Amino acid sequence: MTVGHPERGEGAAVLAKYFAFASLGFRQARAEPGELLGRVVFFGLILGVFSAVWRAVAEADASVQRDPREMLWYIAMTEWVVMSAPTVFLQMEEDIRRGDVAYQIARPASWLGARLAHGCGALALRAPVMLVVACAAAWMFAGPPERPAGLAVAIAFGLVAAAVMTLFHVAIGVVAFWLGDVAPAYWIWQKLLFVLGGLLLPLQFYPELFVTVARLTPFPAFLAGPASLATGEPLMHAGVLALTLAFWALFGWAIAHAAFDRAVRNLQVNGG
Amino acid sequence: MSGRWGVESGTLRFAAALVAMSVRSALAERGAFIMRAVLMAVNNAIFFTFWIVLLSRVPNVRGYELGDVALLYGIVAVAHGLAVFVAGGMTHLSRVIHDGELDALIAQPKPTLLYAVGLRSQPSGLGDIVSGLAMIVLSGRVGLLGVPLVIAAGVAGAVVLVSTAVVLHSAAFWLGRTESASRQLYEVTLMFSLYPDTLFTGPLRWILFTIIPAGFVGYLPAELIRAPSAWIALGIGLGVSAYALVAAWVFQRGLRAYSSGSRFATFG
Repeated sequence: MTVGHPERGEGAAVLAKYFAFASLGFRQARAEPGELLGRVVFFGLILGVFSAVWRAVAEADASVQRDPREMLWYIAMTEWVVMSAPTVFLQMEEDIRRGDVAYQIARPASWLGARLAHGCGALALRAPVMLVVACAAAWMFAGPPERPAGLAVAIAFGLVAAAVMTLFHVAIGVVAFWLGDVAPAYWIWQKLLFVLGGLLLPLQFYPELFVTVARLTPFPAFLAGPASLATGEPLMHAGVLALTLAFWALFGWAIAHAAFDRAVRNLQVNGG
Repeated sequence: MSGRWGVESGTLRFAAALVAMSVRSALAERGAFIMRAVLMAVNNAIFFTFWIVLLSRVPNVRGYELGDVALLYGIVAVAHGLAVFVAGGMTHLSRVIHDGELDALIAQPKPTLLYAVGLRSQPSGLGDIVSGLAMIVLSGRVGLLGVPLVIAAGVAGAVVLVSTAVVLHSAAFWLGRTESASRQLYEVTLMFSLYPDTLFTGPLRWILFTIIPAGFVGYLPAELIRAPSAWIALGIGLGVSAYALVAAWVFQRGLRAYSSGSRFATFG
């Protein structure tokens, strides 16, 4: 028997608690192989379609000055991040709709923290599987990456970006306290992510003003930032990207907490 | 013969009444209805920026200029919008089958499939229809005389999409919970329909006119509008009929394998 530092013991207990939620998320994701398979097939086909698009673009005009191979690896990375981040807001919406949240917030664990940990657990399963698909499909359709070292850095940042996106998904889930249905909020978020994040086209393709506006949002740090590290024209330096992701992670968590606290206050005042 | 016609016209009247009822039901929450429709239109506009930006850099992609892509995109959006607005139940069909919710529908006097797909209307479909029509107009490929062709092309695409969804979701009769996989495969059909057919060559091109019926949702209907011909119209007619018949047959076979969810529910 060892006597540990009480604070360290408390910290470990808290970590163990959220690790248990993450483990649950991992196992639940593993228990739905059909969903994962559907995503895998869809992902592979998307990359097949875009390899055809970029080959055709290269045939049409060389002035685009983008190597189709590099473009496909770029899209493989952006799509990988999007398809890996779990949609935790759907479970949160369900919790709120069924009223389960009323007893879940009374537990000795943060409901937001539990949902985030659950999402990270699902991400831990999805991300590696989807990464294998991304790399295999990009290799098959476009050949090996031109900058393997850049790709490795892009993968590391992509994983962090997917985790920060999961955090923002938690913030979207809190919206269900007011709207009931989070789908409209998610649609807006998703479309902004696709365009301002540079999902299908690197941001450098867009007008200067558009890029300036996009840089004021978290979206480029989620998609174009990590993915462009695998290309010859990174959107931002790796160090800047790390700081940007850290800033948006803190911002996302603060927003989620503020909204949740407000919702809980309303819940107590109105009686749920 | 007249008896059969009477049954069929009765079924058609019932289908129209069912659709009207489900649309009224969706309209009951007017704010949510408008919001979903508007967001879907915005969604389509945002996705189309990809082509606007790309085709500002190159004159065409394998023969497709911006107007051609807008026409293709518009037709597919109208077809999908019509499909989910009129037969919104198709996207939940596998869950309904798996959860035994067909019990309440099987005992009804009209065809079960009609109830299952027509019971819901998805408001986002209206956003698809409106934005699709806007894209078709802006494409500059359709004159006033082409309006009937646009309607025919949209309806043909919608029938193929509903048929595809019915076949994919009917897998739940035999495989259990397939909702996610069925939806993803439907999305695959939609995705292939949205890209120029000239991008795809070899065996994949054949697949897009058979197993994945993207050719009958987007390419052929768009071609019919661009360059009307009796042969294309005939091809679309045959394709649409074949997919609809296959869907009805698969669903009927599935019903034989259906095991009740022992649900005690009222319907009507």
